[in-house]
Amino acid sequence: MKRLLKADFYHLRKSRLTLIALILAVAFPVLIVLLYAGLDALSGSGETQLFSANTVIGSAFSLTNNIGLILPVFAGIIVCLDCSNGTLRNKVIAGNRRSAIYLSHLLISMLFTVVVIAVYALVTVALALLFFPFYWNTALSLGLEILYFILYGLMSFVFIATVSTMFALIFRSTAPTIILTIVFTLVLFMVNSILMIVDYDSFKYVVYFIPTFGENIFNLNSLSMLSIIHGGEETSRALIFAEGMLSYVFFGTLHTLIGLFFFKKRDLK
Amino acid sequence: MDVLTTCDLCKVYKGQYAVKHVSMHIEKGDIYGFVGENGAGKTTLIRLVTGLAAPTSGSYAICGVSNDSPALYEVRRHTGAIVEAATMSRSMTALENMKLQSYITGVSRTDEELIALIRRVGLNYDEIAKRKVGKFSLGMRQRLGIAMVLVSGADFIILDEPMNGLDPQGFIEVRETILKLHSEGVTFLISSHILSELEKICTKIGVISHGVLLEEIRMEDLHRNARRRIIIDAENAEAAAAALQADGSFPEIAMENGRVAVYGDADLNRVMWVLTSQGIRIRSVNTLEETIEDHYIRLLGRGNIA
Repeated sequence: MKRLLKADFYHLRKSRLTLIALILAVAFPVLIVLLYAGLDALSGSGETQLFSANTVIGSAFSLTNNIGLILPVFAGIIVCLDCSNGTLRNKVIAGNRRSAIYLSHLLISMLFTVVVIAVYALVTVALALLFFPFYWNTALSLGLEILYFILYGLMSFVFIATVSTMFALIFRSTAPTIILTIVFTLVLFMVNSILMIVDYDSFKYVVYFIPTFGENIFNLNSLSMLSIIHGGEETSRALIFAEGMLSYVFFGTLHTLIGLFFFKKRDLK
Repeated sequence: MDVLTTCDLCKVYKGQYAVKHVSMHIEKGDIYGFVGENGAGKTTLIRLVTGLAAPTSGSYAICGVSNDSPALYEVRRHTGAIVEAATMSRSMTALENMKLQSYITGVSRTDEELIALIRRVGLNYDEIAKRKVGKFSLGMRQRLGIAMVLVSGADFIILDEPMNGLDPQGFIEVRETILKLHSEGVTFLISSHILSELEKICTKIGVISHGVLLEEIRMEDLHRNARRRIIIDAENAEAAAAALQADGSFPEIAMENGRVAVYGDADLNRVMWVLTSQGIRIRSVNTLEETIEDHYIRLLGRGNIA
């Protein structure tokens, strides 16, 4: 496992895709903040700003926006590179267990996601706070509020990385991996939104285990939403974060087990 | 000691046998030529023994370790294979690919050692140091593939169609690399349909057709049992064949491309005397030894009849 992690990390380090993803992680927030600032200026509302830092940061961590759509694709392509180069075959021939190959890819894919998102988050938060005011909704400090925000965003991206790794190692081809990852993310998001709108009370606990749930809470940035979930009680973000994490771990493990099952079963070309 | 043995190995795809009850034996120090037409099952068998595919039934053992033993993972570390084509990252240099392979195999190598391996397979490292592998010729990639296989210190190497797509110079280079490594104690399993190339390097061949292993034979036995034949190009080939047949001294006479072929240890003087005494004019006479190709064609013919 250790040797595979070294190999995959070396592959990742040498891949141009890593550099491209890091450039995008810096370019996207710059463009988005400039866009928001431009819209603000055009609205001509004078002293009152149209957008807050909350809005900018909230929209930045959506799985269905800009980096949210691109990053899982990159994570999938990085895993697929191993298949298209044939280095995946070299690993099997060299006596590496398929489960170790899968888990190594998963960890590297997660690491890639964390690094890119960390850069993306830093630039986004810095620029958003520089250009827009931040409104406190809770008693948390600014740093802690933003930290939860970023951590939740990070969890959702890492979760999607487990999904794209699953598709990449089941199909071992870039096109189906990209298409299925995007479709999966959009469907998940739609199901989540529909359940919340249609009959929230009935699906309350089901919604808890839909990975985009937490993201919605933070994006909506609504205290009332938090109180609905917890029967009108004031709830800390730490609890929501912990519960959300449970959901991500559950679904992440489920997808990893599915991926492992098919990857171990199928013959390699 | 057998480096690779297979026992009744089968692989079925969609109800059809790709490999059917194959039992083969490769001994230490062999260069085993695996011969068969396209789609005969050569690559499928190689994919089975390299762990890329799982057998439907039967078993195999590498260096005595069975395919269902967890110890096989360790044994595989000392086995290298190039299946269909050498696989490497084309956006990396040769040294970077070698490093990647050293991480994959878990064998720690210094840059100097890796460069020495690149040189060992006949690549001029100084020339290719900064070049991405994507810009290598097919022959260079094949040789780099062999160097990558050597990173783990493999003493058993499986090469699937290593001559495919190579120019004559590439043929020679890969052949020389194989012979050099063989002299250093490496055992090879080489599948190919270029029989003339295999004949130059193999110590043993296995002939497979339609998934069935028809024969395994050592090259010295093949040469010892090789059938000699006299080829006669006569003005009237039919009359010449009839005259030789009528003489009764020759056990097997056949027509080959409009010429008469006399098989077995036929006496050339007797052949000439029979034909000239019948007034048959002869254009040319040649004595030919059976090649691996002739043997293969004869065997396949027999296989088809069976």
